[in-house]
Amino acid sequence: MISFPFIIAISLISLGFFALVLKRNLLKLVMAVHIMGSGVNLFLISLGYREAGIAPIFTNAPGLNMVLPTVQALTLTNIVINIAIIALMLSLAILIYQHYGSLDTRKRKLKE
Amino acid sequence: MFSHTLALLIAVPLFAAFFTPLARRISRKFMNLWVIFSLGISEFLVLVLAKNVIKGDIQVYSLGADFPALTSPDGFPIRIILQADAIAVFMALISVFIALLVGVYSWRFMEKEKSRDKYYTLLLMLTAGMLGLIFSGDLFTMFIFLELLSIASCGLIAFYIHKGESSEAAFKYMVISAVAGLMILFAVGLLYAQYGALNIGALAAAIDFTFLDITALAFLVAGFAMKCGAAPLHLWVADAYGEAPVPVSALLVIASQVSLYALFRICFTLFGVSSAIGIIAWLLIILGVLSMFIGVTMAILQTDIKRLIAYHSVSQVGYMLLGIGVGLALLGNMTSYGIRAMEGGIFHIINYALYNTLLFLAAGALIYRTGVKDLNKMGGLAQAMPFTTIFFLLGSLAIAGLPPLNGFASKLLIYESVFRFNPLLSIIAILVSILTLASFIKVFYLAFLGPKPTEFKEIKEVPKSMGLVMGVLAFLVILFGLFPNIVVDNLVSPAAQSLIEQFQYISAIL
Amino acid sequence: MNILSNSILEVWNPLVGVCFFLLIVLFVYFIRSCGEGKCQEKTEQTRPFFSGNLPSQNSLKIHKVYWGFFEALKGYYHRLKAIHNGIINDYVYWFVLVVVIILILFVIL
Repeated sequence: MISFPFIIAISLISLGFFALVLKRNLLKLVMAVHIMGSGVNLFLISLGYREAGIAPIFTNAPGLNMVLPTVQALTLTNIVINIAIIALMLSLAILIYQHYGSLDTRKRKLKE
Repeated sequence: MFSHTLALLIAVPLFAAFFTPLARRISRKFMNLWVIFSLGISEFLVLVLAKNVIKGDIQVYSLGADFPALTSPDGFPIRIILQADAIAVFMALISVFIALLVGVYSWRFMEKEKSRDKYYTLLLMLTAGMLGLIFSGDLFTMFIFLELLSIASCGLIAFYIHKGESSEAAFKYMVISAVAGLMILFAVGLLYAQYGALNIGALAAAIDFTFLDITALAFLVAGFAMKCGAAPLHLWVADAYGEAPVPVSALLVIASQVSLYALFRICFTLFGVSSAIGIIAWLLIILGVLSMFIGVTMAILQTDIKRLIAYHSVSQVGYMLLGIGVGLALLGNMTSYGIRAMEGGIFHIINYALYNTLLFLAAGALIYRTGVKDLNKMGGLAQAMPFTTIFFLLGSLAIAGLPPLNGFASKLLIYESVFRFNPLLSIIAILVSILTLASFIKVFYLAFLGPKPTEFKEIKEVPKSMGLVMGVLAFLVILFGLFPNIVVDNLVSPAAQSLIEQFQYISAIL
Repeated sequence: MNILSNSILEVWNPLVGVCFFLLIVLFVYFIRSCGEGKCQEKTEQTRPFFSGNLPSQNSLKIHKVYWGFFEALKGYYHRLKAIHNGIINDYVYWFVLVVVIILILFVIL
């Protein structure tokens, strides 16, 4: 069950969490979220992988040995959502830098 | 025509959202009317749906099928399926109603802002996201609409981009939404890997509680608990609610309720009776008690009126988690007080939506006229704004659970049933209510009573449309307090039943 | 279902609350009717009376309300403020902690 792509995916997600908890630069947080997203994408896409499988087009499928199409659709959707999130976060990071003059997460005004 | 209601409910707000910038080209008044009209249509559609569903039959709609009821052509659902049972309709009824009121309120509140069209676009997208999350019958569609909801709310929180604080709040909100969303997707992947299905009904029929399932449950519960703002995952709530424009804060409250609904859907419908759910039930109860206590003790400390109400929102979410958690703990052998606890929790959702919106909008009326959020700078506003004062007072008495207002009715159900489950939990809940009252006495004293500062000499009552919205909410707060049994019998009881009866749901989908 | 449908009315009838409210209104009206009839509007008579120094607009700050409450729970509030520090890293840290706690609970129990 456990194979190489899954280990990579889990380590990417862990890397994302590691950076989110320990890194203080806002841009590094954005990178961490993106790495986590890539980890989840890799996890999804490797779920659908079949050894020597073909593209999932039902009309010219010789047998049942196709890669799973559903997870590919999920991955595509998640890539799009991730891009939207990253773009939004980067633009917010720019705004925060303009107002606060710093990208440090400890330089915050909202607390308590 | 009404067989397509479920698809229309998502399509109407989405279409209206992207038509709004065009409507702005015609005229501002037309844009405002368009937004209110489209939300009114959505509310009408929900009412049509509710009329059929609330009696107990579950309505399903499969997208792209030859006819809508064709959910599983080969005995296995592969399409995207929308479903509406009593609890879903209950949540949709609240969320669209509050969105409609917020739309009317925003007309005057946001009239000085230049980019109102974008505001309304995001507002309608948020509504579409909520409706999609409520009605989606499979986990991945749930994830997509959760992200739509998160992105739209993030844009709305960052609406005042000339202030650094709102950008900061929006950044924090986006980070936690992205993390929660990705972990939910990871859990969906774990479930798909084992059963090859995404549909909640099909998964619920097939699930056999392997270790991977339980891992997925942990991620789903933590993700949705983070989105609904249960302590100790509530830290973003005060930032987001405090910095968003006031009508948005009211809508974000509803968005958090919708996440709470998703959490209940996962626990009750997807997993159902098992030993893992017993642990989750106790976890929800503990999270609920922590939310109630931490929320209210932080609220007493606040000087910013919106942050104060935000911390009270955390504390009120705790009551729902407590009520539903007790119901979940008793799910295997349901007793009458278990059902009553669930009814209390679900009844508290609608009451909380009403009085918390009322409080946010009344606080918004103060901010609209005075321009300050700091309670230290307010004072003596009762003379200048008598109606807002009455509305705020009603809201604060309802949130503190004073009879005969609606907060009391649902809190009484929770106290009474939880007392029979575990007396200590009930005592904590009553203590939190007392602290809530103490906190609102402070707010009322500082904002409305006392000498009036010199710079507030010119203050007038808010515009009529804003007053009307608050009036409607205040009327419902009193009405639900006076006749709680009508609401409980007709709306809340079917909703609680639909959560408990897992097999009915599965048989409707498959 | 029949037991549940009257669940609230069994314990508490809201109309009793309304009657009680009306009673209070009557009582307030009674007290008001006992007052002086000679009171004139818009004169010094209707102004509130303050003894000593006139209160300034910022006389009562928020942290002074419930001062004793905060003083008694000093240790608790110190810890609570440390949690609500507004740093985004800690928000994610709590999420990780909750997930780990749930998983540990599942493994143990």
